Amino acid sequence: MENDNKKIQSYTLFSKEEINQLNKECERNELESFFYDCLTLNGKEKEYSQKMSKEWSEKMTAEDKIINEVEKSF
Amino acid sequence: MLSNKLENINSEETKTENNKPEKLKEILGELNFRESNQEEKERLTERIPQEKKNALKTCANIFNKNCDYPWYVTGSIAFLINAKESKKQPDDIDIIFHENDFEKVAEKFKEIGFTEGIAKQTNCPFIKGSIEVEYLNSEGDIENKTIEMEAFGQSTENPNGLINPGAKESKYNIIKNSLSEKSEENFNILDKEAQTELYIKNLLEEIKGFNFDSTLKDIKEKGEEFYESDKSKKFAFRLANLFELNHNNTREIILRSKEIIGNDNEKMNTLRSFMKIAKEFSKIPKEDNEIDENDDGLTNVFNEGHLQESIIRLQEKIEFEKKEIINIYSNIENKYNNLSSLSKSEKEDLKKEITQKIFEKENTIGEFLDYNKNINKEKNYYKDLPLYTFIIIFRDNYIEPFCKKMKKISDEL
Repeated sequence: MENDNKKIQSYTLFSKEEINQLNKECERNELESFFYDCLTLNGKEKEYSQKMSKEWSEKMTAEDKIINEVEKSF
Repeated sequence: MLSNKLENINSEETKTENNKPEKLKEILGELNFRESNQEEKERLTERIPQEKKNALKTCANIFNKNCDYPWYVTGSIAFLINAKESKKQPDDIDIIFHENDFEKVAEKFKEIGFTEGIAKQTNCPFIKGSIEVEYLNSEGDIENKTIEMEAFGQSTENPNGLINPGAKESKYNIIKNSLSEKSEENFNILDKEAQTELYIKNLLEEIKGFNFDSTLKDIKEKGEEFYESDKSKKFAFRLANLFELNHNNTREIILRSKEIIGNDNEKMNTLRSFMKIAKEFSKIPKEDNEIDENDDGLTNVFNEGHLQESIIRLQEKIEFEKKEIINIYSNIENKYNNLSSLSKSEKEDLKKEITQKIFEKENTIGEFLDYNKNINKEKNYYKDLPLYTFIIIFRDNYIEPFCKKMKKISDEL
């Protein structure tokens, strides 16, 4: 319960710091597997889902996504 | 400090009886006035529709008769007189004037139904309302229209606006324009340099609100009504205007921004982020198999090669997607906030809902990760850069964090 509350607190908003944190924490293969599930579980073909989830996760975890907090100002 | 030029202006203004020289002398900064040139005159004639000109005449009459200090039309009308090429349609009328003139001006505008207030961010007093005008439409019939006008009273002693012509140590060039032979219908605009400064300063402020964090906070505070007054959506238009005003010269825009920003670290970081996007943009490889030879780039994807029209389409698209993902996230977040009270099957349902929502946004995610394929670098289409910038910021500040957060919540379930 206490653990859950801690999680809730840290998940309420997408601050610049949190976006940065998300970028740091998000592993490419885990994200790929998440997208793959989202697509296949909703009826997309495996081959297509594999291609898209790979492409998206690669783009979303490109090296330059992890930006120093001072630099991230948008 | 009063320049010779300003003294000349003072003597010129006395001829119109609209500006009293003894009061003008209180202005500490330098204002250099000049008459509009032929090109600027033509732009005013061709680009500003008659109904806007008629409304502007009403405003000019009141300001010229009641102001002791110079006043200026800003916004899209000034932009269209300054910009060499643009398909922008003029918006409402925006004016800045001296706050010492506020009382008299506000009184006159109240007579035609205007209201007054104090701007939250700058503390500038303002008047706001609409002007009913009659004009001849393209078929030669008389039509009525309502034109909105907003005017901010600014101080030159303690600068309070983003740009304060006449303030100490400031120097601005002003263009004098005529709507008719009557001097009381003349109006001033800031020149291209000053207009550029205003856009850069506006952009640096408005961009702060274009991220998930700010949007969620505003939605929680103000509800759905927030979208109506969402200032951050203006920044795409400002960026487009800034590019058109500077002939898509990114280097010039960056150098000017550096001058304006000075030692402000936060704003310099914003500029660095833009420079990073511009650098990426310039390095996007041309992929022959994906680009049609006749393709004009992103501006063509959203409209027929016109920046202003294409930015409107993109803005509408982003606005729609922004609302959608904010709604999805808020619903999921609400359920997730009650995590401790959720049963195992409810957690499973929530997990399923997350996959469904990501699936529903499949096209959006794909599109926003892939827009760079549509950029045609061969024709040196730097006019694509404002669109590209808007897309990248939306992708980085909304689409990607949304997906990553959904994944993270799903992992916790």
